[in-house]
Amino acid sequence: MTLPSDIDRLLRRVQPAFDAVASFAADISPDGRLTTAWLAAGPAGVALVRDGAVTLLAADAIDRLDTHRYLSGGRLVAQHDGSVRLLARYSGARLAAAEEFAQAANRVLRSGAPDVPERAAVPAAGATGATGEPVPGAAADAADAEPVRGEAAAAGADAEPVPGEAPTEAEPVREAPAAGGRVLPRLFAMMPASKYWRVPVIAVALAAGAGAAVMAPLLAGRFLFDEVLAPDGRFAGRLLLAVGLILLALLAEVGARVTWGWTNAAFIHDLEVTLKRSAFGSLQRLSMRFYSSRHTGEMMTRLEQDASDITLLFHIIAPSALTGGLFLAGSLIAMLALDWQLAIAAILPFPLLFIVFRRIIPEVNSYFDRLFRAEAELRTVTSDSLTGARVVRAFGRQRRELERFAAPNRAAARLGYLADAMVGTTQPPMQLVTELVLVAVWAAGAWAMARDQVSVGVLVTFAGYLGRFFWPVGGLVELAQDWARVATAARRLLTLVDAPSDLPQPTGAGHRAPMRGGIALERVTFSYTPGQPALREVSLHAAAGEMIGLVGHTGAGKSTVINLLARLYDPDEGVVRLGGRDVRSLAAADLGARIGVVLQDSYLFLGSVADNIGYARPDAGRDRIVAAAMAADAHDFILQLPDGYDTELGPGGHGLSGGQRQRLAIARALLLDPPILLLDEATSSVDTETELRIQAAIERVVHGRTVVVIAHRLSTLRLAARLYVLAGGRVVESGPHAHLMRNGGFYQRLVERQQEALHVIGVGE
Amino acid sequence: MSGTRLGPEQIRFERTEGDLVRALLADGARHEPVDFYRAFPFSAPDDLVAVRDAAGTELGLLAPLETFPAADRELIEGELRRRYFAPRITVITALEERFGQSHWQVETEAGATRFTVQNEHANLRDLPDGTLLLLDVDGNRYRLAPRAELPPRIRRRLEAMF
Repeated sequence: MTLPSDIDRLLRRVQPAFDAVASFAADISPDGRLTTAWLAAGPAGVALVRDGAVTLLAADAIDRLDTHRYLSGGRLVAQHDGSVRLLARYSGARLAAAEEFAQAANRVLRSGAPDVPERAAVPAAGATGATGEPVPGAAADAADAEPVRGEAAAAGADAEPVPGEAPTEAEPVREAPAAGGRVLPRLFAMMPASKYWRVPVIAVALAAGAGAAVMAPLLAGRFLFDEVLAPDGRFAGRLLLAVGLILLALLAEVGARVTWGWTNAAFIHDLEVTLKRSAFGSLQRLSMRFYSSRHTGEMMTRLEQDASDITLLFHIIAPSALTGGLFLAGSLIAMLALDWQLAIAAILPFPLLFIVFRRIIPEVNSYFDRLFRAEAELRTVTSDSLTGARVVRAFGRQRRELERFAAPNRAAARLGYLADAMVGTTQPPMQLVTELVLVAVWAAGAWAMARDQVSVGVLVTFAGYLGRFFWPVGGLVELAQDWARVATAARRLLTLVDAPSDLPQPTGAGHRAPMRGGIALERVTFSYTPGQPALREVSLHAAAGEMIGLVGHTGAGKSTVINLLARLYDPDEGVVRLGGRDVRSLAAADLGARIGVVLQDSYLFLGSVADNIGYARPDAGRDRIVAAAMAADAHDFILQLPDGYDTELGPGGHGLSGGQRQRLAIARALLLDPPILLLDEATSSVDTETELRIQAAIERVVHGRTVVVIAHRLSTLRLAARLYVLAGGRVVESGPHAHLMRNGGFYQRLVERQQEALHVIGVGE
Repeated sequence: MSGTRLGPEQIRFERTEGDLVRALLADGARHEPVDFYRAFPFSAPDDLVAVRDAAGTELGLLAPLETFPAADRELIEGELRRRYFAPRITVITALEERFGQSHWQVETEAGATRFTVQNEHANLRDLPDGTLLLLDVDGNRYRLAPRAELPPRIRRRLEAMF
């Protein structure tokens, strides 16, 4: 119950008898203003609080609440006797909350009292369920966004999703708690503790290197000239000592740098490996929901680029900041001590230089960034055109491709020219400024020396410091930019690493999956994107050893059923059962071993044909691999490949046709010898003859297994004990083939249309 | 399938007048000529050898070759050597690289030859037994000694090229 107190008070004053069970904050008014209106649902009905006014829609005037999608966001409507009433509009950020509110409201309207959803009964699903506990950091985000959160109070155990950025709200990945600002501690925490000793070594080596570098000019300058070479110096004539000391300082500097380089390289290597492994581990752990909402390319970038970016911190930022800082401070102190007037005069141009750098460096970097983009664009066009080379030639569009290539090519070349020109024309003047300062110091020094105010040693030392003083200035400006890059990369990567799995695993070992047993969907509702349910209250079952078929047009939800059975996703509502047990209570590995899946798009991994067939059973012997391939009717074509079962597949390897890939996928599923087999359009991309062979193969292997098959060809489905006809995410008909054919419904029309089509092309079935 | 492998009781072989191989099945059927295919040419060259007739119809998978009498084995191995011809390179006389192709002049156990290889990863393969398989631009195959046994200079050049 999170009605804000003022809304709650208002509601209680106007409708004292109203008992709000669920509430929702709509953020767009019906006429399109961005204001907040509150909806509350209780046994009495639905109350709408907008602009300080309360409207009550009595429970008997509502049959049910529905949500509809707009392009982004949607609307909440009340259905009553065929009329539809607009209750509220909301933005994309509220989609999931609206969905939950509608469900909770429908429950309370239907029953008059809140009931506990089934998922709360599953012990494991509660703690980090699909909607998870609100993440502390994200809660803070939400607080400064708006104090408004639709909360389905009836949803009990599954606390509602935290509104984050608008389009990502329903996704499992939210801003990680640590991603706010404490990036460094988190990065260190990811390192194995046994590597921590490197940190102090790196810091000490860096400091020692900087210290030795600060000392070197002093020794080489004032000490050498004024104390050793000057006849009245304290160490007059002891040249060997002076040279030795200078050498020692230089050696110390080199030694410190080498130590640092060595340790730092090892440290960076470890960090990069750890970061990439953690991120890759997360990617393996996250559900398909995460994958469907992101491009594979983006994830690969995250993994590769972000981890490398983060190491910039130790490659460049830490050493530059530490040595640069020590250097500036040390040189400044040394110069002030030597001759404070000269020091101040020499330092005067620095603020100016710093300002100039600050203006120019971002400018140059922006050129390089744009250049990078332009080159990426060029690569995209190139790869797109080359990948589609067959189409280009088939349509004779080579000239168009040339033109398509020319524009980004010119743009990239031009930006490259501008960037180089910028660097080329700004660097010499900058160097001139520093040279001028040096010349001025020498002139002033010579003048002072002539009047015996300054010794040779002091002047040489001074010039030495000045030269070293210049280089960190430019570096300091770049540091800020590098840090911004590291912080962004670290935040992104940590978000990935911290992303909670939206497929909660049972605590402990979980139940063993039953060896035999039927499968069932019980009133399952599921949506890939909130507000667009792919399945609505679907119930179906197959007893152990039974084969059922799913029929329906494209997009009817057939593949979604398979996805849920294989637990690639969890349902929003309802339960998926395997042998009577909720799949969420089964150990994942166990579940995988019980279910063989042939998906619409069978992916073959890099590796040999035998590796691919044995993917789920790496321990399977060659005999069994060959037997599975024979059962899937793949053996014959495999032996025709140049290297038989040892043929390498994938890029640079042998290409296979669609039907061949499909049969390898079937062999892969068969080798698992699973009690449950899910076949999704297993014969979609093959010719008729191959299809007949695959069907024969399927018929051979379905005996004794529980099978769910999706097929367009209705002949396959005649074998099924029962068919479920799906349309718009609902089961519209079910029963055996013969029964459905007598019914005169959807299925009969489907069959008749297919037979007509076959008749037209002259194939009888 | 393991239960239905063809052993010497089910199938025998004899040389035909045309220098090919004829299969004699226990039921009296004869097939001439037959060809032998390795199911796993690299990882198990002598196990799971398939026998097919001239039309490509498979008669079956053979039992492990050592179960066959020496005469049969010799016939099978001879045919396999013909199908999987890949002479072992004994000496690399000259190796030149130009424009992503390498030109080889070699001595093999089958005689001296020269060939050209497209320098792509797929054309130099590490076989399970450690030896290297080299594929030239025409699809011909040559075997090379394991990487560790190659002269260091050649090994480094191969690693740079492929």
